[in-house]
Amino acid sequence: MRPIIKQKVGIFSPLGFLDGENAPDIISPLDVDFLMNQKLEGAFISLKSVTFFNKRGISTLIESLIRVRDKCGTIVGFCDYDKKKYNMILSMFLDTLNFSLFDTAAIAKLFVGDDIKNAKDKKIIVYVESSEQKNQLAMELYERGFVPVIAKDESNFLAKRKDAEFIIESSYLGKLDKTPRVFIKDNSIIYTLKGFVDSEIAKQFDMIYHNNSLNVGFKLFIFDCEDVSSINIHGSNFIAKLSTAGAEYGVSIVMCGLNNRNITQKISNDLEDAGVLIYPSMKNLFEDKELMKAAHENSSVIQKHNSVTKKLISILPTIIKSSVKTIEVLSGYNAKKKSVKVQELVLDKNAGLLSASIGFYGDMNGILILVFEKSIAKETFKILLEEDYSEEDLLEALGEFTHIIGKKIAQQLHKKDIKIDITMPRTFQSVEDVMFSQSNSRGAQADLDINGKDLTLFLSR
Amino acid sequence: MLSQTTINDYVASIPAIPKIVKRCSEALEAGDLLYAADIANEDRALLYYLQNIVNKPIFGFKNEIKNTRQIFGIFGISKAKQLLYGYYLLLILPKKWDVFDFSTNKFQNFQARLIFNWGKIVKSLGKDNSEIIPSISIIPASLIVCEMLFADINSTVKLLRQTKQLSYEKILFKMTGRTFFDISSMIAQKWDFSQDIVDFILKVGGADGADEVIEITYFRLLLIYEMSRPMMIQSGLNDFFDFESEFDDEVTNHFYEIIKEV
Repeated sequence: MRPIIKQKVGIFSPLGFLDGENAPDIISPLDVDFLMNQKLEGAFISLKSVTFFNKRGISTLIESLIRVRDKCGTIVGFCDYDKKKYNMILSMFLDTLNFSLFDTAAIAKLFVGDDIKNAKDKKIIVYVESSEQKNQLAMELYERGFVPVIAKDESNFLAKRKDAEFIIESSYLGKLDKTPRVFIKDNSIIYTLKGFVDSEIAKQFDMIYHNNSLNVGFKLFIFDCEDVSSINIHGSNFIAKLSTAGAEYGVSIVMCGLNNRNITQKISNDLEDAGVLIYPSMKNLFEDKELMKAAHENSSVIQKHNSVTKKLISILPTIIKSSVKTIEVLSGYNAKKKSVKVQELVLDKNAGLLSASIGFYGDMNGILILVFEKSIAKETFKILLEEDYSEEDLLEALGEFTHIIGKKIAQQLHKKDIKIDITMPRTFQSVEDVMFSQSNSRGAQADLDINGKDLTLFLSR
Repeated sequence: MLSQTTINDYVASIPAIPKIVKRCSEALEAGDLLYAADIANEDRALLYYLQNIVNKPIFGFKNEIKNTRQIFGIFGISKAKQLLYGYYLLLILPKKWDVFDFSTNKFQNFQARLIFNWGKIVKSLGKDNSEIIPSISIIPASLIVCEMLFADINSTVKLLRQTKQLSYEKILFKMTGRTFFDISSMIAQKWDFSQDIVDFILKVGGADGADEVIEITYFRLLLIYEMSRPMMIQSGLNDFFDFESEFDDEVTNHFYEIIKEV
């Protein structure tokens, strides 16, 4: 069974009865290899649709994930259970519990994975019986930029839980020693390093993710070294190479938390020579308004804007056809092509538009932007939305939808012997943001009609 | 995109039950096992199906059973009806499975497991005389319906399922407002099953009042259990239905004890 992967977290969602007979098929050796190749931050088994489980089933599953953890440092465990299932797992493992448990998948993603946008706005309450665990959970959340409420006792918890968006009451932190860990904060990619940083970093570092982030347009890459005990020449060389390679994209590589106890002056100088910016702490870095402004302003797409090429135009029919087919299958509406022109991105700023971009690279490099009128977006993504959804859910659905279209295009191009990979999608809350991302860029703009509403596809380099 | 029209067209394309099979069914309804067996013997396809399914390892017969009188004699009226209803589904079975990594053989293994385990359950519950019990053989029609409806849009649906955890049933419902049980009940109506059976199918799928009947709770558990067995996981059918996973602990544990009884 393949997990659903989002924000560097893989979730397996088995259904029904989980026992020794079927557990080896839920996470098979092939799935273990797949997880190892993905270099995920976390891999969890959701118990949401599990009706019954026994110790043999649970043990077999977690042993498979622990193999992944041992090789890649991935944080592993279970999520999406009720109090009863939580207590059953605790009683099954008593003193041998060495994996993590999270009330829900959404709570797991507070602790693991790269998406911690709007961290300070998230309303989180923590109350678990073990005070040691309660403190650990709270500390970990603080470290990732959240500001949880910690309930002092049960009555305090009951009084405050009604206001919380995330209620952490049956969670347990197992081993959280993955290094480097990665998350996105303030439009910056933050890698957290711990312990000794040596040649191992080259093996553990997720280069595909890093390159994706470059292609999508992130400009600031931060290595949080506050928990680094020592960095040697091999570790620093690796980061210096990232800095040199990133120069082409105009990115800044920053290291925070280095001092004379964990790095020699010579290595520090070498890093600075390679263009790495060194800050005493993360706090100092985030106080540098100039740098943070640069991270925000240029974060949408790659800096080198050029006109769309003939090569890209040649795949435009495949891109339009794949996009239209996907939209028609998932929305039930017919899409009609109105016009295709090579021009700068032209959009109506007052039309209430939602947009997303996805980059692709390989035999061809480019960016595809999809712009929907909000009303048709809601209809088109209904299959991905629950009945009650927020604006944030709608944007997430747009991202998912764009990802599906990106994969479909990759499949169709593959049939024509053109091999491309796609980046993670990026959503834009305002028309200005997407227009800004394409400043001075010419591309192929296809305007389509879906049920009387506008949809724009814009392909650029 | 699937629509109600796609479903109606599909149901309309389902063939009627052959006359000889219908006669066999009527003989079983009348309780005449021997006559039913003799009719079954006249239809080579039906005979081959019966021989094939009853000799599946799950039934545990040491020697091969070939004769229809022997088959119906050993199985009794209720299970003979289940076998016959199971044969109905062969009429709509796809020649080639594209959506799932499934086959006619795997489908029949699934049917055999349902019949065998359901037999253990109804015996344990003391419900083996209920008229609607044999109709469970119609439920696997859902798998066939899914295979047929999704075949044309499979590649897009696969991408959708890689992106979001959605069961096939949820996707069908979001696209058409119908569940697989609704469509199975339409098929049952087309094949002239009684209204009780049509209602039973709908109740298994979660229609109102489903929880009032203990057999339905146990049958849902059986379906959930069977869908989570290795063959179904390997075939990509594990998260096919969209059942609630919460059941009374006592009932779930009792169910598991029955299933695991040798």
